[in-house]
Order: sequence, then structure tokens, then C-alpha cells
Amino acid sequence: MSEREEDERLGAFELTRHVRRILSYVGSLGWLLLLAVLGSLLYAALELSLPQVVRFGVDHYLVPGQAGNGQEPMEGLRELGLLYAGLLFGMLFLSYTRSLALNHVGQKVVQRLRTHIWAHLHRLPVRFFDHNPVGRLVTRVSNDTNALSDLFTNVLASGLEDLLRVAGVMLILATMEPRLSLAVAAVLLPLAFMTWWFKLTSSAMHRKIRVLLARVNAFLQENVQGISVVKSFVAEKAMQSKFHKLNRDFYQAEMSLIYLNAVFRPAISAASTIAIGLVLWFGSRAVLAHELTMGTLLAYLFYLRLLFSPLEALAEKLNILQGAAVASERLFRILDTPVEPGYPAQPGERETRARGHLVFENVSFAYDPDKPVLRNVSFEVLPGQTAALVGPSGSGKTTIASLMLGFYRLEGHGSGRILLDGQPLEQWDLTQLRQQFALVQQDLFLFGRQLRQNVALFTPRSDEELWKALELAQAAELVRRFPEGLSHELTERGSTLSQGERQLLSFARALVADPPILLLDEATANIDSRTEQAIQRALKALLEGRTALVVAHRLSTVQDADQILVLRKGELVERGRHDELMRADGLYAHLYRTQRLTHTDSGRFRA
Amino acid sequence: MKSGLQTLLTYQWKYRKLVLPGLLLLLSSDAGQLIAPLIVARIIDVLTAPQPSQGAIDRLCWMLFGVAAWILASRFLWRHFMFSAARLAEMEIRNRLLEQVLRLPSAYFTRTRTGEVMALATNDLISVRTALAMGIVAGFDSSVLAAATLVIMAWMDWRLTLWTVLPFPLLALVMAVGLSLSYKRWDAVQKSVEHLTEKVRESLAGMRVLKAYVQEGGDLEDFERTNRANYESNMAYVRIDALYQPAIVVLAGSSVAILIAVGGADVVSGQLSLGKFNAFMAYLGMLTWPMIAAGWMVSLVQRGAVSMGRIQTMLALPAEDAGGAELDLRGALEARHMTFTYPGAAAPALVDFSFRLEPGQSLGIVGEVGSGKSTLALLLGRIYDPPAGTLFLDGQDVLEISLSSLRRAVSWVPQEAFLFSETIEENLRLGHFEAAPDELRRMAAVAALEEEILEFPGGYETMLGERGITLSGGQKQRLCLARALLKPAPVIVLDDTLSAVDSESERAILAELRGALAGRTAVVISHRASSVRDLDHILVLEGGRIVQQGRHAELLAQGGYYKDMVELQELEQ
Repeated sequence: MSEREEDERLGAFELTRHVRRILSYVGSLGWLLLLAVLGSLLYAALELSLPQVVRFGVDHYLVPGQAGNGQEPMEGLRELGLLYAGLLFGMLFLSYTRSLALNHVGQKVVQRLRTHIWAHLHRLPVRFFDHNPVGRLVTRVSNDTNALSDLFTNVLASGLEDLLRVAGVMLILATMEPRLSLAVAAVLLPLAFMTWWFKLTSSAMHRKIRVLLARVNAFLQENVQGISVVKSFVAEKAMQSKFHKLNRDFYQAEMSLIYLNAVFRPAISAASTIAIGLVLWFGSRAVLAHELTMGTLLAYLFYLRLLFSPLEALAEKLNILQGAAVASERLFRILDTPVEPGYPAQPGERETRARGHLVFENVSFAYDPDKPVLRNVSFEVLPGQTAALVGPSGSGKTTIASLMLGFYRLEGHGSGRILLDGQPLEQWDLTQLRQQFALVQQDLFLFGRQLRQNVALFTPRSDEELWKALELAQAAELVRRFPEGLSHELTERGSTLSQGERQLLSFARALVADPPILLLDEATANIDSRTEQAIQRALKALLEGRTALVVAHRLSTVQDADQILVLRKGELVERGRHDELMRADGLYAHLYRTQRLTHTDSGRFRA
Repeated sequence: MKSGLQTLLTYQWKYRKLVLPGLLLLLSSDAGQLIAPLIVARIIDVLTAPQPSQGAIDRLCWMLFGVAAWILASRFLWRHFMFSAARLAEMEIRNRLLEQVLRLPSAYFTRTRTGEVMALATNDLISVRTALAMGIVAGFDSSVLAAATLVIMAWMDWRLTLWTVLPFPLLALVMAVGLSLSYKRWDAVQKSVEHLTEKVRESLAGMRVLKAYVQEGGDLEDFERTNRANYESNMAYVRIDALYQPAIVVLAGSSVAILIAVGGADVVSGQLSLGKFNAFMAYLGMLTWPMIAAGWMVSLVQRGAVSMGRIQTMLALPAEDAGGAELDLRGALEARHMTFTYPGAAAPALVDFSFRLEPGQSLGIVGEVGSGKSTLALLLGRIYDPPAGTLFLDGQDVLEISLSSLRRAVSWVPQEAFLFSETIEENLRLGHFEAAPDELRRMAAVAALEEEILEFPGGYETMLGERGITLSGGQKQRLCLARALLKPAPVIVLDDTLSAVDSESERAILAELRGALAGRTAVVISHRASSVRDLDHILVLEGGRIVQQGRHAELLAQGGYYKDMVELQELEQ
């Protein structure tokens, strides 16, 4: 079942399960929330007292024969006008401060929740990220958290106010003149029933429309992405007619919702006119029988206007509630995902520097149970040695690096033991373990835009430190090429740099971290000879005094390696030094010979 | 080219059969809304008259019910008409977007990201639709309603009208200032959301690097900064937005306060009836909405016009070349000293590339990643144009053959298997809609796919993609192969078609393929010797140049790259 379908089965009721959890993020701002709720109450009270001012004015001064009451009518009316204006400004003040308070609370909750989720994501195992595409997680962190802030600003602010207004008006109407209220009830009850029916019907339609719209857009997107296939199969006509049909289905689904809305929304306003008519019908009889004052009747009409406008808005609030329920369910699902075993509560600085003794003991591993990636692999790298991993792609080379970093656990997915300095990986604090390694990828993964940040990452480093590393990595010259130096802004995907240059920068990144062990994936692309020489010099500095595990594509690396491990389909098939393996004339010798035929060493074979 | 606003109006005019009655009905509903308070005023005046008549009141009440029904009917109908028109226009624009996508030259898609096209079809189309449905309606409605309300009020008592509308200029000022300020701040909020999203996307994509370098702490601090900036921009927006909404309500309400003081005095002095006093109160309430709607409408139409302009720009781009000769091609294929460079690339992908195939002959092209071996496939279907006088079909320069007859003559299995989220059968029939069912099955069998298809719950009717099943890489490639084989074309190009297929299936497919390709000119591009060994002619490419050519046995005898490749691949098995 797709995630969307799953989410749609969740209703607003699910929200109650999460209320306590959401409120825990309010924390010390609880008093502000309370104050805002009190402010809303007061606001509703002021708003509801406005018609009473009108009523008082009409009964005391305006209805013929009532004027006077011992007070000058003009004076009294002016005072009432001022009172009315005063009430309005009181409402303005209350509404403003309440909005500020609720937004403050709502936005703080979002901010805290985001931070919490972000910190939690950091501690989740790599496997979690394998199964959750980036796009989906981005939606969680930026959009779903926003849906929760709507809960405070929209539902709590105007929703609470609307609710209070409706309840207050109904209460006042009932106490002012119970008989007239019966007439109003005669309109309101069917209307309430209709609202409920509308909500049910329209949410089913909304769901259908969302599905159809997603289909229309997915179709368009596929045609853009697969445009060369469409063109080469001359399928334009067929695609067009399919799209027209999809688009028409969507149009028709939308029209049915428009039809429903066109009935519902005007019905509310018609209902208010009918209610006014009914009140006048019965009220006029009561006034003529002297059972009702004229002022009360007018105030009654004023209240009716206050009653109907929030009804429509309340139906909207239900949608927001439902959205918040879905969002919180998804968010809390992430927060309930268990963290990486071995991840410390407080990641610290590197405490000890490992000697760099690596051992793989009969390691077998599979990402998926039925597709083994490594089979019974054993090797040992002594401190300071360089081991080169060689083999067709898919033979398990990068998996070895991932396992070393503790990205995946053998437990449950494989067997054997991996040791660093004689200690099984499971016994290491994960952050301590990872600080013993530098992972150097073919491609420099970019964070932010500035060169500086991409070399130093998120740890503050002085410019001297950075330049020193850049010099050693033979990347200083390339940074000096930019007038802004370390502050140079890289474009998306770093396309102003060649692949070789990006590798030099990732060397610098590793040198800044200065770990005892290197996990290096050499660049495979064609590299010009100048950059190639720079890479050779940088590699010397990098390997100096460090243990290294290199996924090797360069001749010099394999020739100088202390041992070469040749992998095929997850098995270690050959091992030894370069000349030994050449003499054996096996897989390694062939790999070596074909690579030399092309340029220096321009590519690995896909198998 | 027309401006965005003009285009919007063109669409409105195009659906005038719906729009004009819609506007009339809108007027009629406005009229009903204006009349209702007058009736209520009459009722109150009758009630406060010296000799009130219950019969007259009842008649007026019935009128009120009638007006309610009238408003209901006209509001229902105008919504129906106006919204239908907007949705029809939306549907039409969306159709035209797809048609344009299908017509544009490939060059457009190399410089445009999918997301940009999708943004036109989603965000921009929504603001166009909103402008068509609500912007123009709201503008018309609010100005008519405001003008009519003012006229009626002035007709009842012009002096009181002047008094009570005193706060309105201030209201308009607050609206204008508030709107422009809140827009600016709303933009800032949107920007901060973009920053946040980008930050989140980047860190999630680089999570493995962050973890490997234990940068979680620093990354969290960086995230916190973006997060706080988002909070602050939101609060800055709220500080304006929360003020300006209630300010409108209060300013509008202060008209009522003036009414009580000034109008009340008129009632006491007998210049104004109590019914009219009440009607004034109702009309003042009705004036608030047009004031709010005016600003809202301007922004909706503005946004709609900008979006319409963007869509219009894309729709106006020139389509792919439609000229050239309509030919019935047999499949003689020739390249003469072709040198081709991709647009924007520094180095050529193919250099001095020549070969010649008679109809029914087969050609293999082998070489490493990046050696240029896929380029020929893209040039043959003119996804990219080759240089003039270098590539010929049946002796005719491909540039002079019409795109449709050229593409109908060349069937292609792309390197990256691309399938549509439709049924397996619909995917297979992409190039030959009328194929007979047993022909369909035969080609699926050649691609060693028939058995697997029948094992799926829906057989050939099984949906692929998000709404159906996900195929493995090898299955996708084999489906693409069957799709290309089914297309009745004299030339077929297989571009690294079996790279994700396991070696056992590969052998089975290669054995069957020979029969299926019989009589067709075939170009087989591969990095595996096993795929090309039985072909009539083999080219070995390196850096875009042909370095070896001949039959399998000849190339083996020559030694060199081809021989090494064959030996290595045997070892890898």
C-alpha cells in the first residue's frame, strides 16, 4: 500500500492520540497558550456585547414614546457611540495580542519539533535512509511540521473564536427570547445536518480529486522524462489522447465537487435570510402583543448575522484538523524509529587515536536476505599498510568500506567478525569509531555553497589549518584560482570543477579531519595529466603514516600497495602484491592489462 | 505575444457562453442581497408605525423568503457557470502544455529540468485557474456590490451616508499599506522555507558523509540557524498580518459607532425611520466585504497574469522541424566521415565515423563507458541532429527525411530502460498499437519475458510503476527489448540492452534474437563481446574513434583491445 493511501485512512480522531505529545513541545510556553485562550474568550464576550449596545440605544432612545428616561437622548447616543468604538478597539487589541501569542507558540512548537526530528534523523541507521527517499523526508521536516503550526494558529485562534461565537450567540438568543430561538433552531438543525453530510461527501470527493490530479501530473512528468522514447516510437498521438482522457476524468471529478460547493455555500447564506424572515414573522407578533421590545428584536437580528458567518469557516477547520492528524502521525512514526545501536547520547570529540589495525574474519553480508554481497571474506591490514581493493563493480568493494564505518551491522544480515585494533566493531562507540576514518569519495559531496565549508564541513577550522591541508592535497593552487579563495561559491553539483579537482578537494577534506585510517574510492574518470600528477603527489601525503583501504583504479596505487585484494561476486579470489598477481596471470592480470590499453586507467568495467 | 493579462481575458472571452450568464446571475444575486435589508427595513417601519398591520408584515416576510430562494438559485448558478468556465480553461491549457511537450525539440529538454515544466503545470496553472474563477469574479462582484450599496444608502439618506463612510478612506489606506507590507514579508517567509528545504535536502542526501565524518553536531547547529530564521520570518509576517485583518474589522465597525451617534440622533429628531436605521446597519456590514475583496482580487489577478505569462512563453516556443520527405524506408544505413559534438560539450563524441550496412545486415559497436558508442542511436532517431551529409538511410541524408517517417523506420532500445506507468501491454504496444495478440506474445517470448508476465497477477494487463508492480532492472530491459522488436521498423538499434540481464537469460535471448532480427538492419551497441560476436561487422570505439573493425574471428586474430575484453569477460563469469 502506498503511503498516501495509508495516510488517508487516518481521521481527525487519531489526533487525540497525539495531543499530549504535541503539547509536550509547548513546554514552558503553556502560560502563553492559556492567556491566548482567555483572550479569545474575552474577545468573544466583547463581540457579543456589541448588539447589546444597539439594543440599549434603540429601547432607550430611538423607539417612539420611549425617548428620554431622564437623560438627554443626543448625549446618551453619543456616549453609546463612544462605548461602541471603545469596545471595537478593545477587540482589536485582544485579537492582535492573541494572534501574536498563538503564532509564537505555534512557531516555537514547529521549531522545537523540527530540531528534535533533525537530531533524531542524525542518529538513525543508514538502512533507514536506504528505504526512505530524500524527497519524502524533506516533506516531513519542512511541510508536515508546518501542518502542526496551523493547528495552533488556525484552529486554536480563529477556530476557537468561531466556536465561542456560535455557542455564545446561541446561548444569548435562547435566554433573550426562547420562543424566537425555536424559529432559529428550525433553520439551524437542518443546516447542521447538511454541513455534516457535506463534509462527508466532499472529503470523499477531495480524495478522488487528489488521486486523479496526481495521475494527471505523473503522466505529464513521465512524458517529459521519457520524451525521447515517446518521440522515437512516434507515440505522440497516442499519448495525447490518453492525456486528454485523464484530464477529462479529472475535470469531471472537480466539477462534481464544484456542484456540491455551489449548493452548500449559498445554502448557508440563504438560511440566514430565512432565519431573519422567521424571526420577523414571529417577532412582529410578539412586539405587537407587547411581549417583546423593539430593541430586543433588532439586537436579535444583529446576533443572527454573527451566527451564520462562522459556520462555514468551522467546516474548513475540520480539514486542517485532519491534515494535522496525518502530519503528526507521520512525524511521530519517524521519532519512534529506533536509533542506530552503539550511537552515543552525546557524541564527543575523538578521545583516542586508533593504531589502525583492521581485521575481517569470515565476513558474509547481504543487504537483502536472498542476495549475498560478501561471502566469507577474510583479510588483515596492519597499521600503516595500504590495501587495494580490485574487482568488477558489484563485487562488494564499497560494501567493505560501509561495514568498516559501522553503517550496517553484521548481526542479522551476515556473519563473521570485523575488528579495529583487536576490538569488535559492535563494542565501539559509533562516533568514536567513525572519527578514526576518513571516507574519500570519487565525487566531493557538496554541503552549502562555499569552498571553505566543503573542506571543513561543519566543524569550525582556522584558515591556516585549511590552507595547510589544501597545500598537502595539491588543491591550494586550484582554490587560489578563484578571486574569493576559500569563500568561493560553488555551483550546484560543483560543475565548475572537473572530477579530478573534486577528488583533490575531497583529499583536503580528509586531511583536515586527520584520522588514522583512510577509506578511499579513487576517481575513475579521464583525468588530464597535470591533475593526474597532482593526485599522485597528494596521495603520497595522504597515505603517509596511515592505514588505508583503497578501492583502486590507478596503476600507481595498486603497484605500491602492500597487498591487493581481488574480489569477484563477493568472494576474495586473489590476493598478494602486484608482481605476484601478474605472475599468476588470473583475473587481476587481465584487469590490469585491459585497463592499460585505454588511457592511463580510465574506467572500470561494468559486469 | 500577448501579455499574461490579455491571455487571461482571452480565455474568459472564449468561454463567454458560461461567463456572461454567470456574470448576469452574479448581478442578480447581488441585487437579492441588496433588496433583503430594504424589506427588513419596511417590516420594522411598519412595526413602529402608529397603526401596525400584521397582514402587511406577513406579506413582507413572504417576500423575504422569496428573495432568499432567489439568492440561493442565482448564487448556485453563477458559481456553477463561472467555475465550469475556469475548469474548462484549465483543462485546455493543461492539454496544450502536454501537446507542446511532445512537439518541442530535444534541445529544450537538455537545458530545462523536469521540475520547471512541472511547475508550469501545477503551481502556475493553479494561479491561472484561481484568477479565472475567483479573481475576476471577486473584482466584478465587489465593485458592483460596493457601488450599489453606496447608491442605495445615499438614496435613503445621503447625509448619513457621508458620515458613516468617513472611516473608509482610512480603511483603503490600511488595506493598501497592509497588503504590500504583508506580501513582502510573505515572500521572505517563502524564501526562508526554500532555504530550509534546501538545507534539509542537502544534508539528507549527504547523510552518509555527515555520519562518516561525525558532523552531526555541527550540522544540527547549522540546521538550527535556518530553523530560527524561518521562525523569525514567520513572526515578522504575523506581526503585520495579525494587525491588518482585525484593523479592517474595527475600522468598518467604527462606521456603526458613527451610525449610532449620528443616525440615532436623526431617529430621535424624526429625520430617519427606525427601519432605515437598521437597514443602514446591514448595508455597512455589506460594504466591509468589497473592501477586503478589492485588495485580494488585485493580487489574485496579478499572480494569475504572471503565471499565464510564464505558460504562454513555453507554449510559444518553436516546435521540432516538421519538414522533410515522407519516405518508405528499407534500411540501408551509412555513415560518412561523421564527426559529432553534443551541444555544449567541449570534445566531439564521434570522430571521422564511417560504416555501411545493406538492408538486413547487422553491426556491433563495442567500447568503454564514454567511448561514444551510444551516440549513433540518438543521431539515427534525430533526438540530436547529425551534421549535414554524414548520416544516410537508403542513400538519403537523414536531415532530409521527415521526422515521422525516419522515426517510424528506426526502432530503438534505450540504454536506460524507460517504461510508462501503464499496463505491460500498453507499454509493449507503444510503437505498434495494432499488433496482433500472438505477435505480442512472440516478442515477449524472444525477450524471455513471457513466462514472467503470465506469473504476474494481471498478466499482460498488470500495471507498472507506482500504482502497480516494480520490475527489476533486467525485467525492464527485456520489456524495452520486446517493445522495440514489436515495432515494425526496418532498422533496430539495441543500446546496451542486456547489461542488467543475468548471463543465463542473455544466452537464451541472444539465441532467439537472431530469428526476430532476420530481415532487419540491426545495430547492437554493447560492452559485452558475447552480444556482438555473431554480427556481420564489429566496430571497436575508443574516445569516439574507430580503433578496430571486422568480424569476431578477425578481431580475435588481430589481438589488442577486443581480444583482451573477450578474455576478461570469460574470466569474470
